[in-house]
Amino acid sequence: MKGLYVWGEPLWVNADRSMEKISEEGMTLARRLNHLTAQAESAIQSNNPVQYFLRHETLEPDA
Amino acid sequence: MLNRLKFSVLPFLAAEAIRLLGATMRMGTIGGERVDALVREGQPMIIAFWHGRQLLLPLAYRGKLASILISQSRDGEIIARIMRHFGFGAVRGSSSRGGVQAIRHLLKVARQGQDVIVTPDGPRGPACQVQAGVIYLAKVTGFPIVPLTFACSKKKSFPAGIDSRFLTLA
Repeated sequence: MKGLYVWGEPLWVNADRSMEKISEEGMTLARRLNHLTAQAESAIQSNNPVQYFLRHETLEPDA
Repeated sequence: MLNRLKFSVLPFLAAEAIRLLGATMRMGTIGGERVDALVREGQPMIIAFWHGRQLLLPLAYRGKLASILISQSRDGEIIARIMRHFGFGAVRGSSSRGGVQAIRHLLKVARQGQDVIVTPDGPRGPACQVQAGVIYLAKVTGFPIVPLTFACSKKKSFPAGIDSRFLTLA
């Protein structure tokens, strides 16, 4: 049985962000988590999930 | 007697089961160097993962000391006790109950230099939607939010609390 942990790119939130921007950052985090999870789910079905992930890694979709 | 079993024996057994499960799996990690770099720099972080991916995530932690945001429910109490077996502290609260106190407590542990671990969609969902608290925490502390996820080749999913939320089990 295989398992794959995937750590994503850190997201920094500026201290001067307005509340409106905060919700945008929330959507960015959700997008990033969903994208990583979808890629991890694809990779885990292969024989070598780490290699598969690295070979097929795609950029996070834009907002 | 039942409560004693539930709150002391069960968490120990659950923690051991998680460790055993992890030890019997062929684990891989992607992006661990990002976290290691932050740890080397002494930069505390906020680790965020979806609620439905949490089961084996205690085994993925690469930092030194962390506290986890866990709901104030009875199930939350059991989870907090399980996490204690992995060396994690617990901050109790959620967006629906004890949220303000929890944020204050999280700020306190963050100021002590601890990492903070959260499920940004909270214990009651909506699933896979980020609540504002985690972003606010990152804004106030200046800590980066590091997304983390987990997938396994065999799994059994079951509804857990809210519609469309599933716990991923190996």
